[in-house]
Amino acid sequence: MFMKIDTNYFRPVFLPLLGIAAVLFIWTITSATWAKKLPSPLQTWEQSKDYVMNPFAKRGELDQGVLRFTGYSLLLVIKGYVLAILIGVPLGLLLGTSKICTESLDPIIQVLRPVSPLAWLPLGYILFEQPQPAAVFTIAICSMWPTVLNTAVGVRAIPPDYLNVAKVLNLSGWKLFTKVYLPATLPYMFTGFRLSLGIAWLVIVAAEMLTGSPGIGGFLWQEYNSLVYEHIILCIVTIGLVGFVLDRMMSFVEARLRVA
Amino acid sequence: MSYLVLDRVCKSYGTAGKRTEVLTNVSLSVERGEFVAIVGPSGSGKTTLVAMIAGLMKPDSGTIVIDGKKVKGTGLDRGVVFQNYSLLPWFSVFSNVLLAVEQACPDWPAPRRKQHVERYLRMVNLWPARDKRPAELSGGMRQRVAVARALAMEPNMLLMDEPFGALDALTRGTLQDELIRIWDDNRRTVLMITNDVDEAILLADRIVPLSFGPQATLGPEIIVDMDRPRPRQSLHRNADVKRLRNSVTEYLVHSRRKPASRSLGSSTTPLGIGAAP
Repeated sequence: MFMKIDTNYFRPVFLPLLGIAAVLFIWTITSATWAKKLPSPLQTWEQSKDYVMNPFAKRGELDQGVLRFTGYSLLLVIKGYVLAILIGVPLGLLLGTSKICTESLDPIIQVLRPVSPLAWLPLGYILFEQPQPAAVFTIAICSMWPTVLNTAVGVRAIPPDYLNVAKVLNLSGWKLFTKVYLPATLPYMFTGFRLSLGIAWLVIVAAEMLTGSPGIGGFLWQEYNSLVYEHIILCIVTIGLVGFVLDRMMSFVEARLRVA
Repeated sequence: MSYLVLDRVCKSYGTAGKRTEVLTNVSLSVERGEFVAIVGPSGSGKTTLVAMIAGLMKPDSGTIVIDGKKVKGTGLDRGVVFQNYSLLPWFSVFSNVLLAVEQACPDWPAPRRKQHVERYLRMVNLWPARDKRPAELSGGMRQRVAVARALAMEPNMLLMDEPFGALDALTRGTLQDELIRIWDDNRRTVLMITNDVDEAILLADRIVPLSFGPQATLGPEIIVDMDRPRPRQSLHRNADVKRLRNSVTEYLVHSRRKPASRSLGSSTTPLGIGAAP
């Protein structure tokens, strides 16, 4: 009986737990030996318990539950992300349909794409003179490129058969767009949306650190300054988990679109 | 005047230096209400020919005239059935046909359009599958949707590019019967491309062979002077059918032995093998 472990559940549950245990072990050893300033897993949990168990508590401006901080960050991310999609999709469609646009815009996109959020943020400050709009601007400009490029690829990948059908049916304008271009491109767009959301979530932490906005990144920076190192780890774990959940959600939608 | 007139149509692919002429001096006239089958081997440029008549492609030289007007692009006067069905996978069977009806009859109110779609889906026996997506259908069912979509536009001419090529023999037979029944009801002009000589004999009023490519051209026409309906079962025993099949096949084989060099001859000149011995 003992040997009869259902391997269907065994592997996907046990192996990840094994990985987590290994990391916790290395972490414990590290904090006990050469990195005395690094809080141990147990210390981290003791210090973070309050923030995790009462995730929506608000004890003061700088002392709030971890999900409340996450909420602030997500709100900012959504603003920047929506802006990125609103600009990225039309730009991608333009690049996908017009060779002239591709040839004239592609070099500048390839140059702007690798620029770090830390480099855009000061420019956002200069343009908008407020931390929040500066952060939204930075998120939008950093996260829109995957949406732009994937949308363009999607448009170029539309099977010529569908375009021939559209032509023999004399589809044009809005109808051509909604009945053929959009549904054919949507799976590609969603890959772009998923990658963009990942980047937006990366950028928010940097943006909050630099602007001091309330949020999970701002909290991290503030706790570093107040020497509560346990909370830095709490923030890192939270940021990672939220990013993971966002990615899963988008993958789910993406997979459903591919089937259709 | 004939409904469809092709006059010395030529089409090449590729860039300068590496150009291949696919079709050379293709001339053809199709009368209103006539069912014409173009029979040719694969790779002879049949799809290119359909694409040009449909208006998806322009000939390099020569003209295509439909109903007295030169073809400049696609039009709703021609219903096209593509070789690979080309249904839009994100729409249901019903919506695929409805989209065509919306385009062909923009002035109709919505209920009338829906009735019209229903009529044509029932005609091809697909009304029970109306809410299915193309991916859920078999090849034969998809092809019936494609036929229904083309017919529902009530075009003056139906252009079919190897419509039953990808189907098994049984399904193919059923669809051929359906097609000829529908055609018999309203006698639209049909131009069908096929690589199946027997299919052409079964369906068409007239067969025009297309020679082996490159530089394919149309051979002498062969009139199928047989009454309808033509019972499939007895066809292979019929002496006329044998004779017809032989003339088409002989022309095609002949055209392969003497490639390229005969390209200068116009297709209006018979190329050796007559329609009837």
